[in-house]
Parts: sequence; C-alpha cells; structure tokens
Amino acid sequence: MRRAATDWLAAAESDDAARLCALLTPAAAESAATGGETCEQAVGDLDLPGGGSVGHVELWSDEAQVRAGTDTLFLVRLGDGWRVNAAGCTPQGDRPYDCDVEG
Amino acid sequence: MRRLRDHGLTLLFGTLFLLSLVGQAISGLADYNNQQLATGGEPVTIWQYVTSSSFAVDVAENWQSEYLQFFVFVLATVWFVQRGSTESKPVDEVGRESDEDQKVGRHADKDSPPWAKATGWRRTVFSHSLGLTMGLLFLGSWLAQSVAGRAAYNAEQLSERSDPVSWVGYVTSADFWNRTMQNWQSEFLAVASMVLLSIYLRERGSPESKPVGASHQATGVEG
Repeated sequence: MRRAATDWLAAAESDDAARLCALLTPAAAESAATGGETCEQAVGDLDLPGGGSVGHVELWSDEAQVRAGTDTLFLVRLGDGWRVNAAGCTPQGDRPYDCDVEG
Repeated sequence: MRRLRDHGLTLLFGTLFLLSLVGQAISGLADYNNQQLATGGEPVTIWQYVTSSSFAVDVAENWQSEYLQFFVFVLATVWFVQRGSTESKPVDEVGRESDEDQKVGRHADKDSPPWAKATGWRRTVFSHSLGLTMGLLFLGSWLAQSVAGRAAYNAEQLSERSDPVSWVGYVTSADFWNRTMQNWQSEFLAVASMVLLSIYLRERGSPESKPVGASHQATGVEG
C-alpha cells in the first residue's frame, strides 16, 4: 500500500498522467474520463499535488487513508494490489473529503 | 439414546445456533459484497468475510444483548416480582431468601454442589456464579462489539472519503449506540412479553407455562 502511495506521489510530481491513471481503481479512472476526454487527458488537466513522502497511514480492512505530501489519498485493495480510489482530497469538516479524482 | 434425550434441549438449541450462524454468514456475505461493488471495492470470499470485522461486529452486537438480557433478568428476578407469571418467584419471597431455603452451609444436602456447603468466598462466588458469568459474557461481547465495530466503521468511513475515528470516538458514536439500542430494545421486549403473556396463556407440557388449569393468579408455578 505504501508503494502505491509513493508511486502516486512520484507520478503526480512528474505529471505522468498515464502512470497516474494506471494507479487509479477502474471506477476512479472511469469517473475521471468524462466529457469525451480520456483518463490521461482529464488527469493531466488537474493540478494534483505530488512530491513529498508518505506520512500518517490509516489502514482498516481493505481501505486505507494516506497523508502523502500535501495531499490526502484514499486507497483500496483490489485483487491485483492497492490502487488509489480518490486523490486531490480536501477535508470538509465533518463531511466527506472533496476530491479531484474519485471512484 | 438416553444421553441424547437427557441433553436434548441443549443439543437442539446448539444446533439451531450453528445453523443460524451459518445462515448469517451466507446472507451477510451477499450483502457485504453488494456494498463492496457499490463503493469500488471487490467481492470477498466466505472465509474472508467470516474473519472480517464486519461479520464479527454483527455477531458480537447480538451476543452482548442476549447476555445482557439474561444478566438483568437473573438479577432482577431476585427483587422484582410479577403476580401470576411463571417467570416470577412468589410475591412473598422477594430477596435473597434464607440459607435453609437456598440449601447452603449446614442446610446443604448430600447432592448439593461442594461450594454450596463451603464457607467464605467459595460460597459467595458460587451463590452469584450465574449472574457473574452472564455479566462477564455481556461485558466481553460488548467490548468485542466495540473493537470490531470500530474496525468495520472505519473501513466504511474510508470508503466514503471520511476520516476514521478512535475507540473512544466510536463508543460515543451514533453507529455504536444505534447497534446497541436496537438490540437492547428487542431483548427487554421479549422478557416483558414472556413475563406478561405467561400470566394468561398456556403451553401444555412446557416448564415455561403454568399448568393449563392453573389460576391466572398462580405465581412461579411450572407446567
């Protein structure tokens, strides 16, 4: 799971949209590809925070929350490993995080 | 065959418990996997489900309320009575009763359990062993509900892009108390129903009923 988060940070810092889409869950990648754009095009238009290192991790069952650099990621464990289910997330008090990309 | 007959009640309810636990696992797995697909997760196997916090909390929340029911019932029936009910002792026998009536110490007979004849802490512990055990089982399963419930709740929180909570945060949460109260209300309703209905209704041959021809006023008699 930490590797998935680290890979995400590196891909976001280098604006590697293809790598970012490969790290998303299928649901998140499909959600990002709206309005006729591909996932890579949509993700490339977002200014997703990158760099930094993996900070505090919350791991519960097949779900994880990672403080990564200046971002908060939500990951889920699928059959082929951990994938990012939401990124570019901003806390909203008691309400769910507002995320730029989410499944 | 005689041994089966002598322990038939335990065997029957033990079997029903196991069958219904298997049924809960099967139906719970289907429900859990529906939720997994709805939140972007993947379905799990039956083994993954029965070893999950989600299954554990669903089991523990029911167990704690059952043991609470018996804990409160065992203790309450020492001091509270209901005229006419099979679930109550006679109304003039409220309280812990005499040593002679309870066959302890010098009033014990040859078939009395050893700790009923004993003095000191052994007699005291044995005298309250049923209530103590029910109470400990209640507290243990309630604690299990809180631990497993927090894990299941936090997984759901993360799937919904919300922050997880601490154990203290969980046991003061609406989720914990909603699970707890919905179980408690049904347990206490069941006891109240049985206490009241046994006054006026009968089931011939059951020790949970008065004899069919017994008066509605007869208290603490078995059929």
